[in-house]
Parts: sequence; C-alpha cells; structure tokens
Amino acid sequence: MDSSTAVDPAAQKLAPEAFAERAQAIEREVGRVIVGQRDLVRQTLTGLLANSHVLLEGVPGLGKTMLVRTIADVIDTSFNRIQFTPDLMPADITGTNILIEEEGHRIFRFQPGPIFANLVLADEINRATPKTQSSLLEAMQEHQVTVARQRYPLEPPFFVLATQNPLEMEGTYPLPEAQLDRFLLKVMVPFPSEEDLITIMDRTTGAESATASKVASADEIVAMQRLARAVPIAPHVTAYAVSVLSATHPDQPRAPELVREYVRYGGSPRGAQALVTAGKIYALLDGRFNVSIDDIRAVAMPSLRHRIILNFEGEAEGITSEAVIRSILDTVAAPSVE
Amino acid sequence: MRIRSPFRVPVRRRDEPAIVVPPDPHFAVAGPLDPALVAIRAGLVPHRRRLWLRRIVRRAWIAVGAVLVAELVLWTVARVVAIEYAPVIAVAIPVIGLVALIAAAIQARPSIGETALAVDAEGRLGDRVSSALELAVAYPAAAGPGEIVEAVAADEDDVEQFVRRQRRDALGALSVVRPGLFGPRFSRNPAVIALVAALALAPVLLIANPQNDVIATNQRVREEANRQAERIEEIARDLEVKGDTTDDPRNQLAEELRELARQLRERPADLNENLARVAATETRTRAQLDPANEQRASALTSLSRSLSRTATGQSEANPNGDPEETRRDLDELADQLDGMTDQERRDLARQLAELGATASQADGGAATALGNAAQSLAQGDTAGARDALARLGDALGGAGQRVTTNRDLAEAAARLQDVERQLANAGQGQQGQGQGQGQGQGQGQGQGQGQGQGQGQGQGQGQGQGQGAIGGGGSSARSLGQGQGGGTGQRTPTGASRANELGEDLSSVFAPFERLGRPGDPSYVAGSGGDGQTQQGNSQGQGQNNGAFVPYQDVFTDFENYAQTSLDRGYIPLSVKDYVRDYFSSLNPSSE
Repeated sequence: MDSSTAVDPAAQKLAPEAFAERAQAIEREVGRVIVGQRDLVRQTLTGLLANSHVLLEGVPGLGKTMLVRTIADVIDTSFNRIQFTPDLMPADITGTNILIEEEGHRIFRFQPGPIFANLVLADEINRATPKTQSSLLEAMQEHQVTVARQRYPLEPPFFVLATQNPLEMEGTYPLPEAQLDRFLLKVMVPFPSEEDLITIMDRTTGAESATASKVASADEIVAMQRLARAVPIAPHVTAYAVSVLSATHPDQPRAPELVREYVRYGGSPRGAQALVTAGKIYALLDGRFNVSIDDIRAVAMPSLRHRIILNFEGEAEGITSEAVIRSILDTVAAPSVE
Repeated sequence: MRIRSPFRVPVRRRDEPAIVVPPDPHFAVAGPLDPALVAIRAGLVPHRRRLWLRRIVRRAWIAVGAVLVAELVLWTVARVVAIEYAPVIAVAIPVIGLVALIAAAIQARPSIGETALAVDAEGRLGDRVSSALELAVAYPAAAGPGEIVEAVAADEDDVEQFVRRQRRDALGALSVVRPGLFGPRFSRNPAVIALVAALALAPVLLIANPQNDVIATNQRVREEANRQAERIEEIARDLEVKGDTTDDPRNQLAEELRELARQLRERPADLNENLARVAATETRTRAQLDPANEQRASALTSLSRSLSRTATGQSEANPNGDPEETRRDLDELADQLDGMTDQERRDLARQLAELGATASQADGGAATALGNAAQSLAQGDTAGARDALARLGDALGGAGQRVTTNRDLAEAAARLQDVERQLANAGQGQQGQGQGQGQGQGQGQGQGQGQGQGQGQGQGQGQGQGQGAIGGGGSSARSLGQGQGGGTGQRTPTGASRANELGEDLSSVFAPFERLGRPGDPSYVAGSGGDGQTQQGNSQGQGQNNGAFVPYQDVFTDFENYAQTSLDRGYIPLSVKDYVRDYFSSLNPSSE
C-alpha cells in the first residue's frame, strides 16, 4: 500500500485552471447539504486539498459530523468515523494483529482499524485519553501506522477531520500541543444565521432529505493536492508569512503588546507552513496562480489559533487566541511602498 | 527563497522587517525575457512615472512644512536671542529645502519592483505583478520565452509552467488597471503642519522684533569701534608729529594709542572691554597732566608779554606773549645794558621785580632768573644781569615747551574721552551722532583784569579778553577762570566734533554738553572783569561778582540726582549705569 504507487502519475495531470473548477464543484455539492457555513466548508476543503488535517470545534448540533459525511459523499473515497470515548484504546484506532487459522496454521494477521480510510472523522477527539489521541500522531504526520514493528501506509488521500466540543469539559482530555500542531487548521464552527436556520429547518424536517452526489475521485483529490503544492510563492509573501508567525512569539521584537503580555509560546514552524500551504489553496480557489498577502491573512486565523499558547494572565483575563492573531495582523502590516 | 534586490530596500521602522522589493528581471535575469514579462515591465513604466510624481508631491509638502517650521523656529528664537544673520539664514532655509527636495525627488524614483508592489496594493491585484517579477528571477529558466502546456504536474518543469501561467495572469490583471492609479495625493499631515507653521509665522514676522535694536546696536558698536580706532590712530599721528624726542611723553602715548587701536580693531564687538581699555589709557594720560598747566600757561604768557614790553619799551610788543620772542627781546636788552644809565638800570630792575609774582606762577626757574636779573641791575652788575636775562630766556622757552606738551597730552586725553563716549553712545543705540559744534567758545570778552576764579560752566562767556585761552568747553571740573585784562586772544575751541545732542535714552542721563562740557577737559574759563581792577597792565586783582560764576555744587547735585533717578527708573544696561555713576563720582566736588 505505497502511496507513491497507488496513483498513476500520468493520471495526476491537471490543469491549474481546472483546480478551482473542481473545488468549486465540491463546495457546491457540499452546499446542497450544509447550509451556509461557506468559510467552514472552504477551510475544511483547504485542509483536505493541502493533504493535511483539520480540527473542528463547535457546540453540538452545528453539523460538524454532517459536514464530514457530506464531504465523504461528494468525494469518491472511503470514510470511517471514530467516536472517541475515554475507554477507546489505540488499537481500536490503528488496528491490531489477530490470530487466525489459515490452511491449518495459526498466524497473526493485521486487522486494520478505522484509521485506514481516506476520510476519518475523529468525533469528539478530546474525550479519549492522551494515549489514544497520540495514536493518531504517526498516522497524521507520516501517513502510516506501525503495529508490531510493521508499518502500514495509509492510502492517499488521507484526511483526518477531528471535532471537539468546547462545552462539557468534564471528563475530557484537552489535546496536547504536539497533537494540535499536526492539524493544519483549527476551524471554529459558528452558529448559523437565522436565514440559514430556516433553510436548515426546511431541508431537515421535510419528507425529502438533501443529498450530495460524488463529483471528485480520490485520484483527482490527490492530483489537486500535488498541484496545490506546486504553486510558486513570491519571496515577499513568504517573508510576510514568516513575519506573522514570528510575531506570535512574545520574545520577538515585532510582537505586538498583546502577544508580549499574554502569550507563553508562539507558533511552531508548522504554523508558517500552514500559512503558506493553505494560502496556496486559497490562491488556486480564487483562480490565481500566486499566493498573495491577502491569502496569508485569510488563513492566519485557522492556521495559528491552535498554535498559540496563552499564559496564565491571558487565560485569567479571558484573552483569546483570535484576539491575539487579530492584533498580530494589525501590527504586521502588509509590505507596501510609499 | 529570498531574493536580494539589486535596488534599494525602503527604510521601515526598526522593528519592522525590511520589504523584499521585487527585482527587475531585465537586470536580474540574463538572456531574452518572456514577451509577457517584457509587457509587464512596459505596463509598469507609466505607473512608475505617476508613482514618482506622487512621491515628489508628497516630499514637496514635507519640504514646505519643514521649511515653514524651520522659519518659525528661527524667527521665534530670533525674538529671544539676537541672531544677526537671521535674514541670511531665513533665505538659506528655503534654498536648502529646495536642494533637499531635489535630492529627495531623485532618490524617490521608484524601481520597477516598488512600482509592482504599489500597483498590486492599490490596484488590488493580489500580488500578481510583484509575484510575476519575483518568480521570474526565482525561476530563471521560466523567465525566457516559452509555451504554456495544458496540464501541470508536480515536477520542476510544471512549476515553470505555473510561473508562466502566473505571468500571463499578472499581465492580464495589469492591463485592466486604470492608468491614473497613482494620482498625486494631498499629504494631510505635512500640509497641516505647513499651514499651522505659516499661521504662527505670520505674527512672528509682522510684529516688530525687539532684537532688531540689539542687532543694530551691535553693528553700530563694531562700526564705531573701527571708526574710533581710526580716530585713535589719528591722535597718535598728531602726537608723533608734535613729539620731539623718543622719551617725549607724546611719543610714548602715541605708541600706546596704536596698540589700543589695534585691540579695538581685533575685537570691535567687545564694547565693555574696549571702553575699559580706552578709559584706562585716558586715565594714565591724565595722570601725567599738570593740573595747573593752564594757570601756568596764562602766567607765562602774561610774563612773556610784560617782559617783552619792558625789554623793548613798546606797549604793543609781543601781544601774544610768545616766550621765544621774549627771549629775543631779553637778548637785545642784555646787549643794551652797558649803554644804560644807572637810573635806567634801576627803573628796569624795578619793573622786572614787579613781574616777580607772575614769574613765580609761570615757572620757578624763570622767577629765580628774573629775580637775579633785577638784583644784578639794581646793583649795577650788568654782567650778572646779562647772564640772568639769558637764563630767564631759557627758562621761559622750557616752560613754554612744557606747557605745550601738557596741552598736547590734555588734548589727546580729551579726544580719548570723546572716543570713549562715542563707543558708549554706539552701545546705547543713540541716534543723531555727528559733528557737533564745539563747546567753549573761548572768546573771552572780559575786560577785567585780575584773576577771576570761577566755576566754569562751559561757554566761558566771561568777559575777560581771550586769556581764557583754551576754550576747552565748560568743564564739569572746577575750572579756574582767569581773566587778564588787555588780552585779545581768541582760541580755537578744542571741543570740536562733539555731539550736540543725545539720544533719547541718554538725554535724560547725561547733561547737555553745552552746559557741562566734557569731564576733565582742561578748561579755562575767563573770568569777567567784574569789579576787579580794570587798569591795563600792571594791576592785578581778584575778580568779584563774576558773571560766569555758577555754584557748581548746586548744579552738580541737581544733575546727579536727576541722573540717578533716571538710572533707577529707566532700562539702562548695567555697564552704562556704572559708567554714569563713575562719571558723576569723578565730578563730585566733595571728593576732591
């Protein structure tokens, strides 16, 4: 199950102009089911096309699981859902070797867990113990699973979409920073507007339920992922992304006052990678072939909010990561000339 | 990949990262450029010109604001501190501002990369144009002419395809940017600063600057110092002409005056020091003067005249009382002694003896010789009389010489004092300086003989004939008026070139010169005859009820009180206050 051989390179050829078209088709189909939430859909799709993972956070009932299910429906890929509970064990996720009898012999055979799917929904991931949460680390970072010293690659595309509930913190295990860092984006699921709620009522309480049809295959998603990585980025845009990331560190001279006062740790280099990678997707989705400063600013919030760790004063004062990032974006001005 | 721009990096705040300015592929990439890239460069050129113009306009606003602020600061400071070259600086500031503006305008010429950044920002092109320039340099292989293929893979060649697509996209976006994207802007902050500075500058310029008077005074002080240095040189030249020998005090004073003139020229602006130097020189000069010189001169003149008339027997002989002429007359008289009768010798001896009192006032040696001559004649010793008459002639000549030297020194001292006054007047911003009429007419018309002692009050309008000699102005010092009857002498006033009026500020401090004259002037006021003896010739007497007599103590007290009051009430520099106090202290009769 080597990913490099799973897809024919010749089949990956895709015109850049077709990227936005395909992505918009996916968004359109998802929009048939998910009412509103355009930013949520776009950011989730960005995580998928960036060949990375997304953490969704929102109160129950906002359609997080529905979103992932719909994406799985739109893309012709395998989908597994893992409901994280405190008694969930790592082997329940990754799979394990089981003893089977075959041709008169008893042998161990690897039984893949639910992680072996193209789209994995880790529902309420913060309800599992850190040990179980950490079992996702290797899969998310290296797209492989190691069981009994045997590595099992995950078939591309591999996309983990985890959800967590900010309420009901009793009995939950907040994701460790290393785990959080693996997620390209952390997307907050907002409460829908009243207009969207009316539409949701109409769609969900009627006789017919909305369905989405498949508009993209796994190969096309992989091709889009590769195409996105090939988008060149101008040095001044990269420099801006780095400047934004540097400003999250309280010991940096260009860090705003809010960061110096309330931030304990800033984002890791993965944060800058997330800015650039997500920026490339945004550029292509916008029909451009270059990443702009505006792309970086647009993805700064979901890319950095889970990478900034507030100090005690920040927590006590009720400072949010979003407020910190807004102050950073206000401080780190886009490069311009007189 | 960070591209090092071949052009300058715009300066930002220290805590801000330097902007990566896209390089110009025309210079950064070798070989022919992709036509799309060339078109992008060409499309940026008109925007570049407009951006440059906008920058120039902004810098012009800044320059105007800076110039006006600088002018405001200059003229505000100039109202507190006397800046003599303020007008020159005021003219220089706009010139400097213009030069700086030209330099800033040249320096502000935007590069193609800066223009691309600006077009992206204001045209909302999503960094298309600047990325096109940067990517052309980052991927040189894609900078040249090439074709765009349909599909793109993730290998390096397809990245180049991406670059070419991006370039076409940038060119398309640039082509729809409106041409007048970079219109000149109204720079609010510099304009507001310029406006406020201009409003503040108007009253500063329109209201009279009190420092102008100070500057004018300083200029006058320097000019006056140079002018007075010339006068001092002139005094020195006059003294050198009159001086006989190297040890003559006039020559020594001339040398000192030349040094004084040099010091004045070296530091013309240092009024107080210059005044002190001149005053010190004047004081030293006055210390050498014989206070009774004029009395001695008067007696000498009288003696010479009387001796000549006695020797020649002519009543009109030697009317000017010239000692040299008297010596010649005495020599002739000595030659005639042998031919005289005893009676004639005795008469001559008696006449000579009658002149003894006058001779003792004129010169001790002359009095002794005169006494010896009279005694020898009375005893019939013609040889001794001849010898005594010869010594008398010599003594008269020497006394005359001393009188002349004393007068020269006194005149020099008076001129020095005048120099000092001119310097002080220049320091006070006095107007109306000029050639004043001399004071002390010195034309005594008095008929009275005898010595009228009076306190001179300047004009010397005593009635005594001319023996008032040096009509040196009514001195503030106690002066002796000695009117000798029969004199006709008219003397040229020594107080010429004296200001006839004072400036407003000092007119209340200094008494008019016509009345007080120059302090310390060797003044001699001829007393009027009054009730004194009126007989010509032999009579001598004390004048009474001299018409020229004014109670000096009364006048001095009045003037001193008035000056003191003015000093206390008016704004007068401290140095000048001291000067005035010293002036009155030197005049105070009670201190003598």
